Amino acid sequence: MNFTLLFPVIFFIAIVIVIAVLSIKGRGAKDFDERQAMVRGRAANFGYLTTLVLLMPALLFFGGEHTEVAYIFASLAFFGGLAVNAVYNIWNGGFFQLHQKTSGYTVLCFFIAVLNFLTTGMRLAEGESIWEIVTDRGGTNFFLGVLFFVIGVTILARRWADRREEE
Amino acid sequence: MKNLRLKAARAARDLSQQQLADMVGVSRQTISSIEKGDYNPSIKLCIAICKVLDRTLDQLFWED
Repeated sequence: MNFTLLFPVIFFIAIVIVIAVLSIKGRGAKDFDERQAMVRGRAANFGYLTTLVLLMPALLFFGGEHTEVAYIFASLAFFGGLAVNAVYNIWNGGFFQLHQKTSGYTVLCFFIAVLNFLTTGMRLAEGESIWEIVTDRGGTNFFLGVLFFVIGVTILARRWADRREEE
Repeated sequence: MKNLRLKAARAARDLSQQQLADMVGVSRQTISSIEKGDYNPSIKLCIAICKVLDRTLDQLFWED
């Protein structure tokens, strides 16, 4: 059996199931106000633009002498777009529904970040350099770790700012 | 431009931003953004705020 092909297929099916479950659960949950709906749209635009801008250098380097740089920019385009979308949404209060608790999300984000950093750390311990890791497929773990770490920190920073701002 | 009249009307009713937000069904950040002048609310939200604070649209949202 071809395990190299099997894992991505299982991963894809798992992602589809998670998205389906989340969308079914969230069907009745549209408790966002008008400003939040606007913020979410704007965040999607900024995220999309970030991805487009970072894909340009990836395309320039692809197939040349420094193809590994293209991989880095491609990863940055994907994860950078997601990060911009998430950070803009969270910071402007567009991500969470009204009265939604954020603690569970924060813990989950840091948990995912730590798991991904551990994978990167194991490869560093094996003697690979950070350059080798980010230019390889394993770089996905590193970028995922950074993405979820940034999201977790943004949620905490937003909560801290909210508490200061609240009268 | 800051909406100090909204802030004053809310304070006169002894309501926090969160309490007003709960009463009109929006997030606290939305009330904060309106007071800071960062966000122009829809007429629907303006009316909801006016009803809760027992003021008219002119009193809260009309700029002189």
